Amino acid sequence: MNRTIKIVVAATVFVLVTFSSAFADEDAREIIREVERRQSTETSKAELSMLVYPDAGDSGNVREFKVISYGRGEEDSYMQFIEPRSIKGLSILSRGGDQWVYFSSTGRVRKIAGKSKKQSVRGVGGDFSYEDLSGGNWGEKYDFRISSSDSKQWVLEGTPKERDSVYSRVLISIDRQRYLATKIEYYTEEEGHYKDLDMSEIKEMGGREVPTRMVMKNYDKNSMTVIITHAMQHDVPIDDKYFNPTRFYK
Amino acid sequence: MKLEQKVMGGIADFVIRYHKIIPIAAVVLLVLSVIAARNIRVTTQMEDMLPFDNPQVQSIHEIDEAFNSGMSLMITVEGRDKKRMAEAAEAFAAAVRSSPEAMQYVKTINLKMDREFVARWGLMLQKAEDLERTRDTFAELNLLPFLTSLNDSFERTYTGEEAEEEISTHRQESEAVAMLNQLEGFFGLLREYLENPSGTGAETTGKQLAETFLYGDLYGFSPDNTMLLFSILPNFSVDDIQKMIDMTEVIKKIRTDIQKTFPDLTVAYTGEVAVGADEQEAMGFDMLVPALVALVVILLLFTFSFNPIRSVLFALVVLVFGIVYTYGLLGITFKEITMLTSFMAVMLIGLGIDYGIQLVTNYTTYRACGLEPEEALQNTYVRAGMGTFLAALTTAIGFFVMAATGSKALAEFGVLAGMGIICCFTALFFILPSLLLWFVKRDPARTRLPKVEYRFLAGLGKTTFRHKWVTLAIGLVLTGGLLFAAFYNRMEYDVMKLEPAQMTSIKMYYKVLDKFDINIMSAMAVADSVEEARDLQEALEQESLIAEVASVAQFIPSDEQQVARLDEIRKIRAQGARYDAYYSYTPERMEELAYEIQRLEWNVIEIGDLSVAGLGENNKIVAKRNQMIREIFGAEVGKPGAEVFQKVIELIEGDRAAAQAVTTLDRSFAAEMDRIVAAMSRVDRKIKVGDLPDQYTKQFLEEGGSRNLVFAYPVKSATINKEGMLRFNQRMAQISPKITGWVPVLVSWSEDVESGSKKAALFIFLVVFAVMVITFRSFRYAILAAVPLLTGMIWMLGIYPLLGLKLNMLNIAVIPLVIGMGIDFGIHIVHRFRVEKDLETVYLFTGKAVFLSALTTMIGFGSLALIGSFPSIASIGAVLFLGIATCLIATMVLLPALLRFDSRTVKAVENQDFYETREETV
Repeated sequence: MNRTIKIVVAATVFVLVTFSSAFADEDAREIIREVERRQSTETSKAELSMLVYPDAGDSGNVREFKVISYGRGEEDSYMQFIEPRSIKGLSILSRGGDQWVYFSSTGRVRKIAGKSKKQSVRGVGGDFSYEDLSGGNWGEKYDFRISSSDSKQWVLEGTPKERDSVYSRVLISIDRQRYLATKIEYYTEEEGHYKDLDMSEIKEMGGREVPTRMVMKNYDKNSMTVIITHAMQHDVPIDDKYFNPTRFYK
Repeated sequence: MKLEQKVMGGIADFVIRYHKIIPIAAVVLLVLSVIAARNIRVTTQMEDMLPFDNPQVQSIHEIDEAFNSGMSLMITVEGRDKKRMAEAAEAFAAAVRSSPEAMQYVKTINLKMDREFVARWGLMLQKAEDLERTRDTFAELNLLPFLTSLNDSFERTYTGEEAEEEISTHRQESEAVAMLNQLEGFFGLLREYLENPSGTGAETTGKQLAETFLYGDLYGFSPDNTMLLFSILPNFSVDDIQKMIDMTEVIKKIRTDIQKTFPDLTVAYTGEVAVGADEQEAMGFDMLVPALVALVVILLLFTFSFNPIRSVLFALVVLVFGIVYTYGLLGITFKEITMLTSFMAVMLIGLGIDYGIQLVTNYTTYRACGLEPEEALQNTYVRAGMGTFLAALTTAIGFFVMAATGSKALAEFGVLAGMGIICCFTALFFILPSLLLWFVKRDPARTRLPKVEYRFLAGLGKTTFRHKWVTLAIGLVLTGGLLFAAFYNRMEYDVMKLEPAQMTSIKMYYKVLDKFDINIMSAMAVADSVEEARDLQEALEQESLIAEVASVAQFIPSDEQQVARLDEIRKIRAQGARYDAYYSYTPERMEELAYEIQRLEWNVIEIGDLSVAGLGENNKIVAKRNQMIREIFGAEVGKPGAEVFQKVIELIEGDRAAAQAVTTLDRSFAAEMDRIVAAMSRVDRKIKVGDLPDQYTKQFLEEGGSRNLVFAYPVKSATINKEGMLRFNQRMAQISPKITGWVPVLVSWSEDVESGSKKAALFIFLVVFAVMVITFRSFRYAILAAVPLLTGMIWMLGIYPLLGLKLNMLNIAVIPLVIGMGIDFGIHIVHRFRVEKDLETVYLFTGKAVFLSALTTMIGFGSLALIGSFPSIASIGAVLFLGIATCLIATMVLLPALLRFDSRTVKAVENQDFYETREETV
């Protein structure tokens, strides 16, 4: 009898442990799905400022860019520079893995092939890489589990599903109430703790809550990039020409 | 008190008995001191003020031993015409080479890139992926296909489908600017030819075009082409100051000659060697001239303050004896004078004269009362001797205490100053009275010169004594206000601003900084191998705080890289005929040529646009682009530029005869390009250190060893404020602990001085206060004596920022001196007050002496502040002048009010006129 009880208890514990971790993974997936559901949009329009600090400790050395940006689905994006004056009108269209750049100074359009995902967006993105800004949802790229949680947030740990991912691990802090990511920590094999993205100053824009201030700190280069969102609209009609390589600059 | 009087009385008896022997012994000692002082060397190097075990100092010394410090003397040539500037530079270098006087100091001259080296190894210095593109460009060397390939290559590299390059580092920026310079030179030559084909001729122009493109600019021009910079490396180390001075003198003479030959240009110099030599000259001036000026002004002051004048002259002469004794001691102890101790003579004049004034004032006053010389001297010693001794003792102890701060610079300064005080006091305490007794016998009342009595001091003292509450209230409010203001003090961390701005080497330092956006005072690291140098170079080039990196590794790629490059070079070598000797320019080809030049202009414009993303709007590529084309703001156009491309297009399109001219030119151009490419592609082995020209081996490699030097030149912003320097230091330390140079040394020094100064101020105050408590045998009197100092310090620190002045790493080190000096005023007054118990007497005798003493100190430091050519040393003078002034005011105004609280011994003398009656006896 005692032996039987022991077996039953052991089996119960085993099942509970196995299923609880499975449940936990399931919870993590659900959380991510909900986050993405709330953030997904068919189209978006935004006015942004990007401040690039090559040396995070030197606030006086900053490159400031003002852009307007249009997004369609997960893959297509268009951005045009308003400032600085020397590159006003320069536009970049990204569709899938391809990019086109329109130079307002010469009137020419150049096609650029797929970039290294780790690279900054034509240098303009500062510490935001193609990987960081590219479409595709988290759930498709990473397997998540809940690393920790408290009354205010979950911290999900993501490991990449594919080998060519730039990051070996990500940690995403998600606000429980809003299902909004507030912080992402990026890790790589080579650099270890590589970057941190802090998202704050959450405001309602275009009918949804948006972090209007995003700060990416690069610990390897000791640099920093800040993106400030001045205005944003979601699911609004956008002229198809902005996503057409032969017309986006007209 | 009785014991003190006995001791002083005994000393007086001794001096009276031996007053003729003491001066003779003093002269003998003087001669010995002068001999010993010959061992002293003067150094302006900051690392000499840091402890030997400081890692930065050790690295500097290692570099110094193996590479002669890695320092250089830089020559600058400014002008508008590049050819002319190059001619002047060549003439300068030739003049140096032909001067045995100059060459005895020269290791090598880095005038320009070695053309033969570039001609042989140029392809080996390009990356394999660049060589692949270059191979395509070299496939057809006639002008039109060449430009077409060039455009294709640019687009592939920067803006096309396979574009990889992002311009984000200073190295890439420099390379892009160099490339734009090449294009500017290339199209400049082409334009000149097309405007007048029979001028230079097709053959010469063709060769020049080929060389311009393939060799690039061999000279070191600034991005705007208005300054040429080259360096001369010395064959001695930074410690050899005399050679530094001598070499700079010879170079200055050569510069004068070259300037006369090229009056349309401006030829100048800078670099560590020149700055060091100019500093020596300035410091020599600062060591001597302010001291002489101070002595003269003091002499004038004393002429109208004391009778007879001989007594004052003796005081000054004996003071000089004391100073010489100090330098004699220095010659057998530290044997060096640093920037911090360079103003020691001025300081000792200002401090030491205090003791002489006390003695002379008392002595002449007693003589004026009718006392015989011996009696007057006895009274001087008994009444004022102990106070004077205490003042000297506390000041000397205060200075010696600086040795415990842990800072080598402050310890040396403190010990030297303490020795100086002792020497000056001893000289004045024994030699001066001997001379007064021997030679000053005339009644001081008999004088032809008007004399200032300084009675106002007693009047002032009596007034504040009577109105103590008002005085103290005002003092409190003032002190409170200035304490608040003291928090607004700012530090100057840009050390170059502390150098004499009128020095040519400093002026050019700033110009080079502006023109090249590079600080020529580099950081350095010793690498044990070329591989280590390569790793360091790669890491440093990624740093935004580094403008330029130079090392032997830029000429010696890794084995792996060389194998890949040799493979590409082999393919270039295997190319067949690279040009068509009969290529002719039809109207269609001329149209294509115009289009390709236009396309090149677009590519250059777009490269500039992309550089904004990685480097910001105000980068050198954009500046160069705007200068050679026009100012561009997106689709808008700004200021016109040189339009190097459009001018050639106009000539091609506008002149039918241009086709024939281009055809003729092309034959020569293509042939020369082919010849150079063929020569470059003959390389079939790896490059080794032995293949490098002397100018590089001497600059980078240790003689007879395998170690080499890596230079990292900081950007401007890294060196002009504390945050920049700390960040720079931190990043360099993260890259490698071996990196050293003047920024790391400066950071070490500033940390050393800041913490040392705080400790010194605290130690001095505590020790001096303890000595006062012991000698006064009373806390109350010690506190009374300390109050003028404390309030004076607060007033000084409060007034300083209100005057728009900044503290720096040198003048902050001397703030503890104010404590050592300012405390004397309170000690003298309080001590004399305890003896006389009468305020008026105190201020008539000791007050006058304190006033004159402070005034002479202020004159000494004031002369430094006004005349000193080193802003750093002048700022030391300013801090000390202000500190002494505020302590003096506090002593004359606040202290009498405080003494009023000593009710047991106060006896107000209301109407007594001391000088009229002359009946005051002691």
